[in-house]
Amino acid sequence: MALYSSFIAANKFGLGIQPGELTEIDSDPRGWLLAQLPLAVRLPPRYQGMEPSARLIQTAYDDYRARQMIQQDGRVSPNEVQQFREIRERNAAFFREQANQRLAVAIESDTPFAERLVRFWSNHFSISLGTNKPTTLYAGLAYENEAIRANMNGRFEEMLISVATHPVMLTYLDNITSIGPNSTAAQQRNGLGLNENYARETLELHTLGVDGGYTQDDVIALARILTGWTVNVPTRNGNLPNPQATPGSFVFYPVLHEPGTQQLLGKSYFNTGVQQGISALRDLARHPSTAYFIAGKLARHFVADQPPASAVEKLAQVFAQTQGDLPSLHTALVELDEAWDPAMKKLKTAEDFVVSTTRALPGVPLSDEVLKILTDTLASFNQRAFTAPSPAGWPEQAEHWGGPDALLKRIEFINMVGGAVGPDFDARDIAPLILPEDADLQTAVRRSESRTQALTLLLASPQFQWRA
Amino acid sequence: MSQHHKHALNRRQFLKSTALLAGAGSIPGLSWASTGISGNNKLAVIILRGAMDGLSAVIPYGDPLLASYRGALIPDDSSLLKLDNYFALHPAFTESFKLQQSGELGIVHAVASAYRERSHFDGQNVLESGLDIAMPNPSGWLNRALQLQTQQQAMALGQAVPLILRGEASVGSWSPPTLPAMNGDTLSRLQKLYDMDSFLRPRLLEALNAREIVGTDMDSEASLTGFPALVDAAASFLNAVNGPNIVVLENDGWDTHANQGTEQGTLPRKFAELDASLAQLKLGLGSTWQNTVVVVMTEFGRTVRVNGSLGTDHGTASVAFLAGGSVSKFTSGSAVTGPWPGLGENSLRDGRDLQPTNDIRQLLVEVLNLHMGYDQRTLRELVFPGLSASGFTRV
Repeated sequence: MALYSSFIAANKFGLGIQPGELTEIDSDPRGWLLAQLPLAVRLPPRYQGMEPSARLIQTAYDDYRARQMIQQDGRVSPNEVQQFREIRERNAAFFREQANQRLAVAIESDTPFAERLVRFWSNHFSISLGTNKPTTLYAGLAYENEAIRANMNGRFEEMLISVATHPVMLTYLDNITSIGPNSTAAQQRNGLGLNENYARETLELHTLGVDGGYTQDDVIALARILTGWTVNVPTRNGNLPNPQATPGSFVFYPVLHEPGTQQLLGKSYFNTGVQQGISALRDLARHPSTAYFIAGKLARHFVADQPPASAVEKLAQVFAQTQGDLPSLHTALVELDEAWDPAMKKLKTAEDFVVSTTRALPGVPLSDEVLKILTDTLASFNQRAFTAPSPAGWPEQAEHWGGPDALLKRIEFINMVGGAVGPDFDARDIAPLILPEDADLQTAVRRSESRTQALTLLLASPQFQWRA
Repeated sequence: MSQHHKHALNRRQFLKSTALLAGAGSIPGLSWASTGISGNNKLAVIILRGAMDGLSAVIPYGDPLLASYRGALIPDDSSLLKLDNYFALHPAFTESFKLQQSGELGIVHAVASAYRERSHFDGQNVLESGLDIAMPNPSGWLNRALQLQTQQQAMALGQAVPLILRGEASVGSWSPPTLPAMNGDTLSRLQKLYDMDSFLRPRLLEALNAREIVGTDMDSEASLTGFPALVDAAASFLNAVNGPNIVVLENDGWDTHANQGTEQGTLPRKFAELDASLAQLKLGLGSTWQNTVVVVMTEFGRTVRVNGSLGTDHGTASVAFLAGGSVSKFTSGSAVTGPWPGLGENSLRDGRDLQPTNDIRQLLVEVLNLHMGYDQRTLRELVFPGLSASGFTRV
């Protein structure tokens, strides 16, 4: 039977405790977590009124085309210089705004466990916004809300399909350029063919896992099955793939689709158009390897870098028994004794560290200026929103986040925070509200030469580096 | 963990006082004395993440089949930097070509680790662990080498320590400072708190040591950013009297699934960046370049055929480079070292990839042996335990 600690609930399952929260959580830490689950689909107030991804992708596409047109004719008029500058500024503003808002939502969240879960799944289906895929540059946050957050109360396969039909993912992993070698399009123009990238990552990173029992032939089969899954933006001839569908949204474009039956993991999938892919994805979601792969990842994120096999086993069973029902899976996570073991701890990621620091300092206004400092800090820690280094998302291992240089940069960041707001806070009061009792830390804080030093020692302490 | 502490302490003392040098080398394994090789030799490892297209870097332009596989990806013949009548460097490698002409660049083609699947993450895991298969949390081959010779000191350039350097031996890491330094009293109070954290304590010590070494030297270079800043730091570290003699740099962005470009484009830009970094390293190292070996390697290669998006998908064999003032000792006399599998349909692996005929571990064994003073047997037993059994042709 686990001992339900408020600090573990807030610091390990959540995004870091806010000093005022302790009393509320203390009455029932486990219940505090479970009550958040149904609220995971709720759109945070800051995101309300944001444009849908289709609209953002259309804007990004228009900007991209306009830039191309300006560059194409060789001469640039003063008018075009102005237009170019506006587009570049819009680019930068969208990128900055997504990072700022996403950080602010984490800092403000009153359902921090639910928000961490959203970010876990968003990282599982990781995307990265780079200028080499300019048409999705504006839509990373919209992707997270539409494909991930909206599916938090459903089954894993619905999330998988939402991701697979989301323009941002299809663009990020090149599926929009993957064309059936025997498709109508390939017959009309030479040199068109498959791009295996998305199919491979779907098998390796999103469902079965690299040891999940698939072969190169399965990668090719899934790539063929998913040909034609694309975005409704103009093709080379200037027409939309589907003039009836919303511009910038997902469309199935039969002209690109590989005809014929495909063999995936020993099963035949007849060519039923888009349904062929839907069936394949559902089967992948229900595959036993997927249950273990997801369970392992969840346990690694919430229990320990090397979670006990018993924890993985329990989560995998729940995943399999409930056909991947996410609320059941998340409940099982809270019910894991292993997750409440104080010996099991996780080093904070850079984002965890910045978010939990700010949550520990209530009253710091999240002005544009403050958010800019915080997102710049995250960028200097190499963890800017939607820039994970690979489709595998941000790493979990303490060795990754706790490198000597990274650690020193965290301490320097806190030194800056302490210098900026130290006089406004009394670390002696805050310490017992954000971390379990620790005599050495309390002594160090009490003996500090100034409020600034006391706050710096508290937040730069080794104790505050861990989710524990 | 106690082992870890001991190393961290040794290193700290080592850095602070050369008098303690005499005490180093007491760990089982070899010492410089027994090899007769100068302890001044330096090693820089550059890991290209994302799988570099070796057939675009070092182009077998003399092969009549090449155009049929990837005509759209071959730069114009007149722009190629021809090494012989079969291989050419991509036109972006202007500086590397000069190095090659003066015997300061070695090229190994059709090279791969033991990994034969096509996942970046597992591929990098195997490349950096030096083992036969991907493991959950292996140690890195370079860290195992460090454990065998305590006088070798390594530094990861970047905030995180990559797998290649993870393990029992303590290593440093460094990236350009971005925030104001903190006051010494606060820092010493903090250090006391960190004494109680067995994971974080040695890392904090490493970081403080690194800042001490490059503190003044690096300030003047603060304007550099991105990869060039790390390359610059690499030169400073390797030149520092009490600095590390091994550095590891990571460079990502090589996963060219779409529109990789021929003379211009994504991949040529990456080539140009790599090319410039080798020249920058040579310049920054000055005379140290003569006893430095730079290894450039990637997790695997890419498909021989162009894909449907004017890019290439995950493949098997790629290219590795060795650069430095004395790399001629590794090369066979021909521009491209090691056996070449050919591009015939039947020679391709799975009908799609360049067949690996050279094991990257063999190359690394030779570098560690000839340049860094390790004996072959120790390397095969402890650093690359799977190597002897591998069926690769010897480099």
